[in-house]
Amino acid sequence: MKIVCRHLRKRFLTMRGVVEAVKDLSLEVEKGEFFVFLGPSGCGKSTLLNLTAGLEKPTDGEILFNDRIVAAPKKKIFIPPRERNVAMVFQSYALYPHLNVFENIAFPLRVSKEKDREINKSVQEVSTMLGIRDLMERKPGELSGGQRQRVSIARAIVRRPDVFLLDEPLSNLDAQLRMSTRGELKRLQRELEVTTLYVTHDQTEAMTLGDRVAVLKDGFLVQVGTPAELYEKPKSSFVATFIGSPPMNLILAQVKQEEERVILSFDDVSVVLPPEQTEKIRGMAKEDVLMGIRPEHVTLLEQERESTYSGRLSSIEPLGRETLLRIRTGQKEVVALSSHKHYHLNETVRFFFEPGRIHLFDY
Amino acid sequence: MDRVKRKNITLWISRRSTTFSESFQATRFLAPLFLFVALFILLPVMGSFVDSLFLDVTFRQRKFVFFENFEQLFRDPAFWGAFRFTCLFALVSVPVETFLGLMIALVINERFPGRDLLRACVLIPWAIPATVSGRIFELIYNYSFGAANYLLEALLITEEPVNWLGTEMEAFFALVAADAWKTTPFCAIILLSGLSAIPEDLYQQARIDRANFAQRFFRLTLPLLKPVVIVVLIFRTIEALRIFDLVFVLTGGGPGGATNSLSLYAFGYFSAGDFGYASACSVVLFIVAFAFSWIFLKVGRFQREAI
Amino acid sequence: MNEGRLKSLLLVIGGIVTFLVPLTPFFYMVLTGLSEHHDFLSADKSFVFTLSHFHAVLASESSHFMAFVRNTLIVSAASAVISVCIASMAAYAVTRLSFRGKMAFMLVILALSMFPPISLVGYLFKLMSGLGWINTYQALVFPYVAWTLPLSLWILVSYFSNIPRDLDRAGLVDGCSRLQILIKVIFPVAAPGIFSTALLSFIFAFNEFMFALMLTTDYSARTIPVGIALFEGLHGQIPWGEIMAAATMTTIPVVILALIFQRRIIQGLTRGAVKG
Repeated sequence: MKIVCRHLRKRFLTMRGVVEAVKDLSLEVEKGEFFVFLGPSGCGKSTLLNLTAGLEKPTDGEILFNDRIVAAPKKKIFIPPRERNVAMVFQSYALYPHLNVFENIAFPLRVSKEKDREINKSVQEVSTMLGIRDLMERKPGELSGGQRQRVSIARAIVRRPDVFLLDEPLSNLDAQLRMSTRGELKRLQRELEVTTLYVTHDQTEAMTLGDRVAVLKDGFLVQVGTPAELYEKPKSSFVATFIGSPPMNLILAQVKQEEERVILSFDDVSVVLPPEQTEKIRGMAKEDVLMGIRPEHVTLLEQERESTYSGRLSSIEPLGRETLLRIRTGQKEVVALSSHKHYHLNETVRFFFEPGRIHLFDY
Repeated sequence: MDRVKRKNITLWISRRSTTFSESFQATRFLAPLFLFVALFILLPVMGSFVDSLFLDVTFRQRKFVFFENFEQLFRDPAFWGAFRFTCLFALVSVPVETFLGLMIALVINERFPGRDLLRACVLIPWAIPATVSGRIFELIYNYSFGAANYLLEALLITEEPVNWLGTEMEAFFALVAADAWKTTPFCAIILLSGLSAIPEDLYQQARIDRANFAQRFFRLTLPLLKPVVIVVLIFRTIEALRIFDLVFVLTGGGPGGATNSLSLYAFGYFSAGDFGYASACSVVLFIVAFAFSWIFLKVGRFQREAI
Repeated sequence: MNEGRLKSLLLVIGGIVTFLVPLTPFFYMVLTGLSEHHDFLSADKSFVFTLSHFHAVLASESSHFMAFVRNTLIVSAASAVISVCIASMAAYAVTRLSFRGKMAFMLVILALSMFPPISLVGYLFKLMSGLGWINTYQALVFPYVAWTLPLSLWILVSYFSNIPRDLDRAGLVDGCSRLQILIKVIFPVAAPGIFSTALLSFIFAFNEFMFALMLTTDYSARTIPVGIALFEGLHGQIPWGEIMAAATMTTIPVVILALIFQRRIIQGLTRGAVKG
């Protein structure tokens, strides 16, 4: 099922006044794609999910499933959730507390009045797929968080929906379970080939699960792309710092044009930018720019070289495989990742930025 | 199939689904309640207001008489007697019941074996019909063989049997006592819920701060209970002003109309078929009860802000 | 005497009083029903056990005892069930659907419950007369339902608001209509609360007097409270033994209900009153 949103807007009336949860959002999700909505809390991602499900009506704009309009206030069209063939997994799992696991999974099938034998078959199939065959008789109250989550997923896929909607399904699980479930979710989606919309605020989840990721902030769509695109070519400082852990360093720098070369400098050290990046600079109007460099691209050196900075190590955090270093240089702090282990606090170090990895953003 | 036709069909299929507004759905869910309440509460009350302006007696022609019913009402000493009694009754019984309810709530709030049983016992007077409790007390207050006089004489409190239902003062207090027996449980339960809502840690803190029993009660319990007490007072007052069942059975308004409540007074005229006059009386009672409800809402809001 | 001891003493005294006071009149009623002479407390009479009063009430044609019991049970049960159903629908709308004037609606309903019954009887009598319903079950059931709706609504709103909205959303996505969600999801999950509400409505309808007195005229529709209030006896003397026997038989069921479900009842009352 291909999903298209055009100029989607959603306004809420709350006690604090009008809140625009989604502002002029347009995007297209391809059939069978695992599409992730990523963003901090309050960015409108859950609202988007609810709009797709039909649990909310858009204030303006259109939503189409496979070229069929499912919601368009201007055209007075609204198709309720039960006619959209979507399935949803909630953050709280929303299992029916009075029904046992079997009945919980069977619920949507019973509502659509399927025959008992069919229901039995489907539920058995799905519970085998998710490894919960032995939990059929239990009630949700008797299950662990991970088990509840599986039941919730089982209930969602038993109907063979056209769209699969997941609202932060992993956030209530502990770290280890989260990782293993992540892998299983990805595998499941591939197997079922269902268009999936996944909401999360965890960028690791987004990066590992999504075929494409949409970053949202304050109801706006900031950037859409594959995880690699977002990581390597962030279009704004927000995306750049949101994606990647530890987050990208952002440093205020000055731009100067000297004939053919463009020079970026801060703290009296200048870097000559490679030609690919000079194009970007010409597009920028100001002299001040935000220079971005990921910690793994901050390279520490033994001896002085051209275009190197120096600073004092203000903290050392061993992460196992790597060490996180915070370097104080002048007024600024630069975070670096290094695979060496022998550092001392307050040691003076020298470092430079890999030129091809420098990002530039408007200040 | 050509493109235009296909597109039209797609649009047509989309339009088939109707839009529905949540408000409309809400209306459907609220309608039955609204209907019942409008037909069987609102309508009768408005009807009574209208009737009060008419000379409306069975077998006689209905005639618009404007405020004549009220004039007659206010000229009737029996009405004022009923008015006085009703107000006095509310004034006395409500504080008594609230106070007793508080005492009971305090007892039940403590944890001790058999507490559940006690709580259930306390519910019994509330659970039985008012007329049944009325008859029981009618028996208790019987001059010759009632339990009240028996106990009083056995405990040597009095020498002569008391004519509970035959003397004005005694009848009044007999009613208050009977009503207290019946409705104190309700006050107790509401106050109990307020009591149990006070977190135990506050008391612990007070103990640490060296507050003694009386101090803890007056400075901690009572102020925190104030909103609940106010709710109880208001509810009980409105109920007390309407007193009917108990008076009907226990005293019938006697002796000599001394314990006639406004509801009973009006009811007498309704039974006699004088709907206009009785409606006028009920309008008066309504206004008094309404005034209290209004005070309730105002005080309630004030309390909520104060907290 | 130190504080702990004082408190314990007060508690014990309070406990005894709290136990005795509610029960004593009740036992007096039962005893009188079982006593040959209703004046058994007099100097010259004593307590003689007998079941004759019970027998008389049950067997006698003129007392119409069973009719009263039947009427009361039917009217109360019907009122309770209808009231709860209607109130549930409204409570669902209030807690889950958005519409304008929600708070005003709740307050108006609350205000309606403050009207004195005497303001309603007169016109209700005319209404019922006009419909030809005087002395029928409907004459009582409809006003009782209307009268118990405000309290039921407030109690159910309090229970329903504790049910997470996500359950509704799951139901909607799984294909239910709003009404189906109310029946298949909310009802089962809120069952204890719904039961409490029904119980309270039942007890109210069971004990109601004024409407029953005014809107019914004889034993074919009259309820227990009216029957007991008007129990006069045939020869001038009040048959206390029989009255108390009848009272015992009719109140025992309600008392048993109250004892078994006291926790539920208290919960319901508390939610209704404190939230108000």
